[in-house]
Amino acid sequence: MRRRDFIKNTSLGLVATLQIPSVLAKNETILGHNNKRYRINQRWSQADVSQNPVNDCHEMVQDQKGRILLLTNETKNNVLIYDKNGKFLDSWGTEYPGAHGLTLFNENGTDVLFICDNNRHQVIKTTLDGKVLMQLEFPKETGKYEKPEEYIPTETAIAPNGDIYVADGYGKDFIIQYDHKGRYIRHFGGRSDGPEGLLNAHGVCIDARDKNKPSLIVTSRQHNAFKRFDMEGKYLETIALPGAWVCRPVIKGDYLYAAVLQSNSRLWKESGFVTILDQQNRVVSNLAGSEPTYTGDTPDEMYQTIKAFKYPHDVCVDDEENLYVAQWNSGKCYPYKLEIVH
Amino acid sequence: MKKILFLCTFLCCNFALYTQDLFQLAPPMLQYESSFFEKKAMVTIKFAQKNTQIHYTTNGKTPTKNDPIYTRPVVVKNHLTTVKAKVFGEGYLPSEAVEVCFYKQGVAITKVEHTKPHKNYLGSGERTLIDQKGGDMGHSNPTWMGFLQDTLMFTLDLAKPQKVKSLMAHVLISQPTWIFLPEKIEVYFPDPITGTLKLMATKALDATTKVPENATQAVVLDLDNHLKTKRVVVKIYTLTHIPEWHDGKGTLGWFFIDELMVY
Repeated sequence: MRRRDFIKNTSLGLVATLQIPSVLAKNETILGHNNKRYRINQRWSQADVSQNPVNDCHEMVQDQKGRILLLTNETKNNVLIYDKNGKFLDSWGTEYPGAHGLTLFNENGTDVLFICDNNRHQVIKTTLDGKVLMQLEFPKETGKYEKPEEYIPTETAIAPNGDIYVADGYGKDFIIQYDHKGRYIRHFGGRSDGPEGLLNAHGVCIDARDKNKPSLIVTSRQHNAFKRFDMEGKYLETIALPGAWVCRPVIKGDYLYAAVLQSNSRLWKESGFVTILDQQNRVVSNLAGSEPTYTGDTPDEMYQTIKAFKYPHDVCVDDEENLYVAQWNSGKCYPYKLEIVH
Repeated sequence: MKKILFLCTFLCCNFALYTQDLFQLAPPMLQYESSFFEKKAMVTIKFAQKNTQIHYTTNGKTPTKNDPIYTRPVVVKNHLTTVKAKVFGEGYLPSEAVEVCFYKQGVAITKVEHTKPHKNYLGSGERTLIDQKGGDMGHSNPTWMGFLQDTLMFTLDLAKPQKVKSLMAHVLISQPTWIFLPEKIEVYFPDPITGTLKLMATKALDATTKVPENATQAVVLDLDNHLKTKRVVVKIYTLTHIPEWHDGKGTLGWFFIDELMVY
């Protein structure tokens, strides 16, 4: 190619760049509201689909080294490990057909994982590279269960003293508390429409934002609410989130983040979004969802506004306040990254 | 040729650099008391997303950007008015359209007697089918009555003897939850002296075709407008054999109804 041709071609190329349809134009969508607004990157994962496929992407956590761990029910590799830029680093696990809940706990300086497996009806504690350390079977000590099939754990939360709280979110909706060695302490919650009752107790977390009064926040997904209990299982309050099928609560800094599987107004139509609450439990931002407004103390019904997600299932917040969103039943897509806009 | 290749390279680079798809807006949320009204109905349309506009129509056509922008609740006064809404916004693909149809109350019905519904879906009392309430898709909502038997009878007593043009039954289709259209609906007038039922209209329905989305349907039967009657009897034959393609194949289909109207 002669130089003149090159220049001509280049300019043509530039013209094309400027005139390309809006699909490609630099017209980015920023999701969210107030001080929690994000730029979504749907091509974050650099994993090779032929080598490291995913099925449902259920939950994600960040370890001490800053790596992002993803749990999927694809038994070719149940755990995928990434760096924050989406570079695939490692994978392990073929024994978790019902891989659902993934919780990371810093145990005296060492990161350990707790996996809830829906199909195995077990909670499995492992090292970061997949070595099994402990297995919790179905909680017959509670007197509420006769066989493993009745118990379908979805999530765990680990207290600073090592106590393990398991949410039986697809089973009988009890929260079962064990000590760090896996010895049964008590259970609470259970399925009901009463104030302390749970309906699809899909997630649980420790809320240590009030340092003098740590508490548990439990999801009651079909009630479109979180419910707060003290560390001994006494019911304290309900945080109503009308319209939002919230998954597990994730606390980072002063805020609570949650994937919303779907909107009540459009059930089973890929109507999910992500919600963020401040320390007063007020919704400050909905990513791909309606701008939060209040009538009194309760938010107005929330719903998806932008089809950026299908069925978000978990949010991981990294050390730089960026988010990673894993999705269930969404065409086996890898997680998205959402970078905070300052 | 080289030029074309070069251009392609440029465009591809742009594709690769770009990390978002162009997003479609979700449909707006329609809120209304009921699909049935006496004098007027009101629809609130919600979509709390900056830089978007809701456009709506009441003429049955799919809204375009040339149709009115929604600013306040839409008031409906005419029978069989469909309100359709769609959201547009720069930088987004427009949403799908959503719609709701409104039915004006027909002649006054004083009482309805009918086959007992299933114990789990009793509706909200003896006026459930003539209370002007309903029109949503949630089958467990008490505006709906659910039945699981093959033949159902509904007897409507009108306020006074009169000529009537048609009967409307508002029913639910939710095949994933085993709720189907009925196979056939018949309307009878009783003979004023003997009480013998006289068949006035019959309508066969296609109950077995797959309907992917849940829907409500107003089934209308035209009647002879020359005879006066004080009573209208409706006989509904539900789907006796769920088709092969469905999990419930061979068994009885559920039937759900929330309103009966006479015009």
